[in-house]
Amino acid sequence: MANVQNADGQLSQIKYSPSSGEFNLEILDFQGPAEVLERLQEMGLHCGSRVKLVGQAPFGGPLLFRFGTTVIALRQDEAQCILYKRIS
Amino acid sequence: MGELIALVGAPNSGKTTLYNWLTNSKFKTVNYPGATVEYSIGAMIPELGPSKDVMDTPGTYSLFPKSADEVVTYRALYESHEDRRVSKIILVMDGTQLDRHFILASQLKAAGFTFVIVVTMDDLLRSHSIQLNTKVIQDYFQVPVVLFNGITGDGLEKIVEVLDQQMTKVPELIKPWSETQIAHEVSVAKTVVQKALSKSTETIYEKTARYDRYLLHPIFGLGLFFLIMATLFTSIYWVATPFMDAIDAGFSALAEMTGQYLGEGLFSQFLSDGVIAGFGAVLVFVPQIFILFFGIGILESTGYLARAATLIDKPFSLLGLSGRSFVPVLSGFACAVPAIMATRNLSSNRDRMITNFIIPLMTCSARLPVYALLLGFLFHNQPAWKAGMSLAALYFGALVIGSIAAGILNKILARSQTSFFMMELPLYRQPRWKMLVHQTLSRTKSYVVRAGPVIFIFSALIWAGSTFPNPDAPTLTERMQTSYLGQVGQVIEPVFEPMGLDWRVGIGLMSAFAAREVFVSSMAIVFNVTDTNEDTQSESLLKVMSEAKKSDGSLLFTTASLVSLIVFFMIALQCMSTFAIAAKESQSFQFALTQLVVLNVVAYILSVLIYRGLSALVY
Repeated sequence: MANVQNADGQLSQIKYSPSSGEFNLEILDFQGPAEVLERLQEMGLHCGSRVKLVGQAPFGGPLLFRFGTTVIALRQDEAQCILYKRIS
Repeated sequence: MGELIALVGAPNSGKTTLYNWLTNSKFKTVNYPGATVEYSIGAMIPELGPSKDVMDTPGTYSLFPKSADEVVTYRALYESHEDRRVSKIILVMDGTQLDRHFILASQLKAAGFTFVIVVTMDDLLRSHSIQLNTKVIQDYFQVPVVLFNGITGDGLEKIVEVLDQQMTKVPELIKPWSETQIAHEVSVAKTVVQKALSKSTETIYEKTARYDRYLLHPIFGLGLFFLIMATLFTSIYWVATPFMDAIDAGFSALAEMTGQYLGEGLFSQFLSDGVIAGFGAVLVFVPQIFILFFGIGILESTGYLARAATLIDKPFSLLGLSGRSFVPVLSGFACAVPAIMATRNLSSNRDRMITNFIIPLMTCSARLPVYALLLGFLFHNQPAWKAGMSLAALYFGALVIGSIAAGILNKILARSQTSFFMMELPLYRQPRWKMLVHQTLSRTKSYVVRAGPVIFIFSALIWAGSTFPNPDAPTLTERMQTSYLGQVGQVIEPVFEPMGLDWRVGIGLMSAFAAREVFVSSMAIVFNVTDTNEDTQSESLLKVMSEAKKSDGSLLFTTASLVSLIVFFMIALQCMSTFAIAAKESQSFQFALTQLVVLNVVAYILSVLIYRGLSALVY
């Protein structure tokens, strides 16, 4: 759980605005329902993965993360399952 | 029967494209994760070797299913189909996403399946000067790896060749993988894929990222979403008009020629007043249906649908739906039957139930002829944009009514399951126009083939019912009133009278339960529309309808009765195929019956209230 202590928080806590631009994050850990965690990992998000927050859908909708050639949209509930550390 | 080969892979990896090449099928390929929700089996083309059948399966990320469509794939792999089992698997991996699709390959290997790996999107890798050394992956999994180009079909023969060299093994069930196991696989995947690719695939996403800056922007993105939807729904009216006029004129000329050629007589009347009038009244709307299918096809093939689902997720979640519900709901604008099947892609049963309930409220293609007729009548001799805008308003109205229904269900239904939204956004791709036109034509054709026999039977029945037993009556009105249909109509008239309608429209509404579009052909026959002096049939139907009077001498079609009719059609569930598929997919006859009763009763009550309200305002 050392990872958790270094975390900047849950991904859902990130406040994104188009003016703030994109930023890079590292996934430190996961917490939450097993079904969601499994799916997140199957989709390619793992501890140590570096992802870029590239946007958010309107009305506080899903957050958009890019890694490699993939962009994944995650609702706040699912983003809450990911503990992150901001890199840049 | 030959051996059965299954195509398996992550959502949107290119399975259906490969399936089309292997079987020469014209199955829809869609750039949207989760487009295939049912497996389909087709015979492999003989040019590729000895008799084999190929099975296309819904996309899955792993051997541990989490949604109904993934369960379909899981069962397809482990269970028998018509007394035979899948003997070999073609694992389809997207060349631009190899590391993410690696885990499924590892699980197939661990379970002991016989499989070969096909890497798709070869064209994309090449266009970005990226070389893939397939031997690296081949050495790791100890199975053949073949590159496949979905545009040219290059690699097809090689796939079959390596498949034939594999010996079939019996697979075992495996336990879900632990986090440590997954973490290990991920790190191996990274190393292997890095070694196999000449350079990173990240550059491939640059163009898509540029487009997404606008299309997913919280403000511009939403504006563009509404603009795209409005363009789609309004173009159904204005682009189609010249084609509709041409078809209409063609059927009028055909009816006139038939009358002239056969002369007076019952058979001549049957053909021109019954069959030709019935078909003409419905087929005139085929251009609109083509445009609707074509528009949805463009959205499907470009990759925009996944963005639309993401943009709309938050408002949808407030109604108890998921952004993923957007795609089935949009498909509902074409036809409710495949749309209800598409809800298998939703992970939560609750989301599926709410989405299934509201899909029949969407403006399906069968409603289009009805709306076009009624709006044409409401805005007769007025600028075309008014009817066009009203049609667009009806499409958005369907979404509003659907949202209200979903909101009510969201309050009523207990929250038993977590709904989640994790959506992959695919790369934007240019539609393959030839294939798109072909698919649209085939979908339009299947609409005509499905509706054709029903229209023919009902046209014949309604013509006979409105002609006999007194075909030689001195006037058409007398013949109609004394006909069998007239007699039935008098009995049912009290039901439709509160909606401001008489028995003739009542007959049309009853016949619409066979298929909604039959309403239009029934109206054409009941109102005896083959006035050959008129330029076109639609014109003559509108003219006869505008002069139709009720038994008390008042006009039958007023603004109030027309709006009431439109509202009835917006809400009523008249399609028995939809009822059947809703029962099957929800695995609950009670759900489907409740849906049928609730939607029809609400439709009736609302249309009566609207008729009464509007009549009171006007008079």
